[in-house]
Amino acid sequence: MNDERIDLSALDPTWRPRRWEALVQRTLVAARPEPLWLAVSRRRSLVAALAAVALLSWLPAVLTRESPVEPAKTTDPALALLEYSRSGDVLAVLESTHGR
Amino acid sequence: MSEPEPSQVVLRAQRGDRDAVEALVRRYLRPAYLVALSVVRVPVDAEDVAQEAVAMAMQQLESCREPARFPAWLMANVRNRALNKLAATKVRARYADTVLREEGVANDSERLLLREALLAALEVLTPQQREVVLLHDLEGWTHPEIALALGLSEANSRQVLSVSRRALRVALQRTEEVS
Repeated sequence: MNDERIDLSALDPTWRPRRWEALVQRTLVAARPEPLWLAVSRRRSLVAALAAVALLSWLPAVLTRESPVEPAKTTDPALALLEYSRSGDVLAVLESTHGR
Repeated sequence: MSEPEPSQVVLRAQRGDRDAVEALVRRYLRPAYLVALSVVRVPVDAEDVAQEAVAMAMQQLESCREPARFPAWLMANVRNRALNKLAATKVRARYADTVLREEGVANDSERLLLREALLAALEVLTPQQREVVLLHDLEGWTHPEIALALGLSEANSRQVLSVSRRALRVALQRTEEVS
């Protein structure tokens, strides 16, 4: 007769309720949503790939950028005077600050 | 009050309802354990697998696209994890190890002997036969529930159960004769 249920209760994991409840509790703790840092670290390869793409797209712009040339400081009166003695030109800055 | 439909509970859990998550864990941890036991055949390993698989499933619940098929989705996860565990611990002195790793079992040796006899008898079945017979005869699932969770037809589930019981009875009888 194969219609009769076989007594498998010896295999029942809940026969020791305290042990089973501990397993339930451990599962509930482990089931909590993972914190953001852990979620990110789990996706390390994705983060690394995105970082590589960002670096590659940024690098050419950095390498080809011309270094900005500092305009000559002409606001210093001593320098302006020196320049005037050399070239004889009245600098705009002298006109604006001292020419009034 | 009747229990809510599993799919409703899954939908609530997917929206972040912690009570729904707990309800799912309490409802499916034992069947998950039985499916894991069908594969690994070591109770403590089955506990580890069930815990890990159910916890992971709860964390990745949004990837269960058909809440009505949640039991099948969960049991597939459990089975995969159990197979990985089995591959990792292929060679093991199973029965002695099992008892040693469980705390406080020494004072229930009769039950343990019966459990070991059942585990030994279950060895004659295939993993799927073990799943069907454990879910039906121990967990009390119906054939429609088993069919949904294991991806079988109901008729197939009935047939597997019948064949499994016959083989299991023969194996248990042999064990009794030997002892």
